Amino acid sequence: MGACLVLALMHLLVWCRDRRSLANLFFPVIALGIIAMGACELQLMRTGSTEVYLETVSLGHLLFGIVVPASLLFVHCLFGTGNRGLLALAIGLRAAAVVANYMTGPSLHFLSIESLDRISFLGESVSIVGQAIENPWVRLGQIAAIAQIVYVADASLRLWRRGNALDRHRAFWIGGSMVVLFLLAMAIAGLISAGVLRAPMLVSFPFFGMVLAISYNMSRDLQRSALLARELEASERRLALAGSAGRLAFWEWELKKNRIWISPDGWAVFGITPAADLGFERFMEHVHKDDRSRLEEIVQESVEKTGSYVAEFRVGRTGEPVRWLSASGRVEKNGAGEPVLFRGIAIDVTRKKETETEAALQRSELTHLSRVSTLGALSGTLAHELNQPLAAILSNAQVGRRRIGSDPPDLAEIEDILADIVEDTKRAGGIVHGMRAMFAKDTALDLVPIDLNAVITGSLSLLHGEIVARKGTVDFSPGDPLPPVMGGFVELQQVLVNLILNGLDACREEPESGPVSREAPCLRIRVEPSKDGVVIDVADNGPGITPGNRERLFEPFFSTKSGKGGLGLGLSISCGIVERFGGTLEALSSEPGNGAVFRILLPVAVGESFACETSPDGYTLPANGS
Amino acid sequence: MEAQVYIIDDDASVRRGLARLVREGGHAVESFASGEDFLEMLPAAFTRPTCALVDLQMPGLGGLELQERLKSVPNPCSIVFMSGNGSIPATVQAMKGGAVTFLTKPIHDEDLLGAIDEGLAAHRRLLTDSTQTGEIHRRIASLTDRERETMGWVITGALNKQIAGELELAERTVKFHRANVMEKMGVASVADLVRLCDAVGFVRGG
Repeated sequence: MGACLVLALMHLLVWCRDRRSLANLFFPVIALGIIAMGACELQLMRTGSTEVYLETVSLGHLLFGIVVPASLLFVHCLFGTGNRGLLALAIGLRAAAVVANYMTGPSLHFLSIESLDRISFLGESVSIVGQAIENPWVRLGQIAAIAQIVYVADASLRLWRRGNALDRHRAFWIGGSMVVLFLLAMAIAGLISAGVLRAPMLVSFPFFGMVLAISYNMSRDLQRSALLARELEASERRLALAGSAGRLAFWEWELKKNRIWISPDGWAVFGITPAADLGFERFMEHVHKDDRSRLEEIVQESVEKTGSYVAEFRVGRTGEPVRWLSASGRVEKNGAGEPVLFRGIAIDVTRKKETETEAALQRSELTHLSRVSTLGALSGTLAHELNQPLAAILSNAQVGRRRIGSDPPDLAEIEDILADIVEDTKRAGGIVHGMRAMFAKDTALDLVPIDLNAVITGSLSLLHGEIVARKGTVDFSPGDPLPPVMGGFVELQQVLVNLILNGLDACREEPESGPVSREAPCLRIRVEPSKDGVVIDVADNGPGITPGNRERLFEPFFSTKSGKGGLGLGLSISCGIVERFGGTLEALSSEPGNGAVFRILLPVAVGESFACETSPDGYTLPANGS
Repeated sequence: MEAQVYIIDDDASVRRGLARLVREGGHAVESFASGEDFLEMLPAAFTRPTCALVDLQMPGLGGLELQERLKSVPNPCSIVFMSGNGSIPATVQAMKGGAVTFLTKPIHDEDLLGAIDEGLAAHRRLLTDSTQTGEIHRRIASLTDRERETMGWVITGALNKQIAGELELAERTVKFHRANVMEKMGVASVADLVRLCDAVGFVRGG
């Protein structure tokens, strides 16, 4: 009995410390109930009065009515596998039995007791029921007991089937003992009340057994807890090591209390002085001011919708060094599906970001250099292109000046001349503008919707002089309006210029076998929407690409233009540009001697209807007559 | 004789501007968008002083190729090349091929008209020269074989007696032939006769 008390108090304390584990609350109720039942049974054995005996039996039923539901609820909480309907039925029947205990007579067992006999039990003289009239409602108690047994047996079997060793141990010891001991208690009580067994009421003994079985199982839990505590400590040490070595912060944000916990080494990662009562608002003050609203949006969305969160942001208030953090986390919800806790990690990625930025800068510089060098190679023909309108302007202006001096001045002719000068000036301006955009270093970083027809037309007009000088022809006519793709106008034009120049060069290349082609370069450019995006094919009439070269074509510094100034960077840079815009650039396999075909595939821009870029920077020529 | 200027350039604006300027300079002018178009209308022979302004870089038949083709025409017109991009190799080739000059666009009016004048003058000379040599050939053709033989010796500065010895003729006969040569060739002195023969490359035994 003392042991029961100790166990009861122990579990009560555990429950007080951790109110989430309801099982720990029920266990002391069971233990205390059984102690009380034991006391009742002791009283039964000692008393000589039939009235006291009846009253005590009735009290015993009340205690039983407390211990049994507590046991069932204990099993329910601990196993988590019980059938709720069965549970309700068993508890309901037991409650009905308690009610019947008081309503149908002096106790559920007996309507009356005529006499008590005294017998010798374990060397002591104890009272037992002599002549008595059994209460027929005792069957209700027996039915309730059967319901209890069925419930516990069902819950135990389910737990056993779930399979893990810990669960099985629990199902066997707690569930098994409960079933066996319930049966035993029911048998003892039944036999005694039927007058078959002449022995004192000792129902509490099987229940002591139950408490012991439960304690045995719980002690395993304690053992496990100790083990877990040790493992937890080790794991915490490992985490702390990982945290400090990797500049990693662990954080938790209790949403209701708005309290943020950060691992000891994590404060430095966020650049915050450790504080016990850090709230979200104070935390946000440490986030870089340009990233605050964006981060707030991401956090809000993950709490309210997605449940998970990944973000890169900068920390460092004004005047502090700025660092990049990459954070990810998950929202944990309570039973009602409300978000309660936001847990995650943050890592300092400043170095990585710096490297990335530097790499992007270098890539952009390389792209720019390649563009400028392409334009350098085109300088002759570009000068020709530009000098054409200038030549016309100069001639017209000089004729105009002569005409003004004549008497009378031929005003109609002068007007014609001026109109021609205006047109040619616009044309020269357009050419200079196209070149300027290609020379420009700082192209837009953000991707914008692009009309590929405009890109191709722009590239061809830039290359017009070069194509003429090489006696080439290009077959292209802008077809139906295309869906816009996302990218940068200048970079895409660079890719097209590169492919067209390669195509023009291809005719001069020596094929693996056979004579060098004496044909003039003839390119075909096709652009059309496909299911994956928009496809541009640039086909030439050169010797084609050998399978060996096809594999190495996009490698940097690989060139087939031996000794003709090919750096071997054009295709690798073009490929990089197209990939940055989410597309692909590939050389289609072709029969040797049939010319090469390069295919660009760019995904269609998603979203509402866009106003497309149709020139390198939205420049449009002044309208006529202005 | 009125001079004729042709402009061959693929750029319509350039053609219009240059044509105005050339007309302003007082020349008849006609423009073509390509070398092919120009060759198609080409007269069987140039009869009046002609100068062609040709753009070096054109689709199809380029400037230098046009120059080659023109060489097969009798008394080819003068060519002034223009380019917006004067590369040295192309300039050298153009000049070797007999171009009057090479102008880089944009072209100043005085340079252009000066080059045209130069080109016209050169062609005019060519036409005149070709008229003169034709006459000399005709005169030479009117001589008898004996007279041509005699003329061959006369222009070497040989005396009648020497010629008679060489041709195994009487000195009087040689004198007679010589008088005929001078008359038929329309010259009064041996010096003039030498100049005519020199102009057509006539030598003894030729």
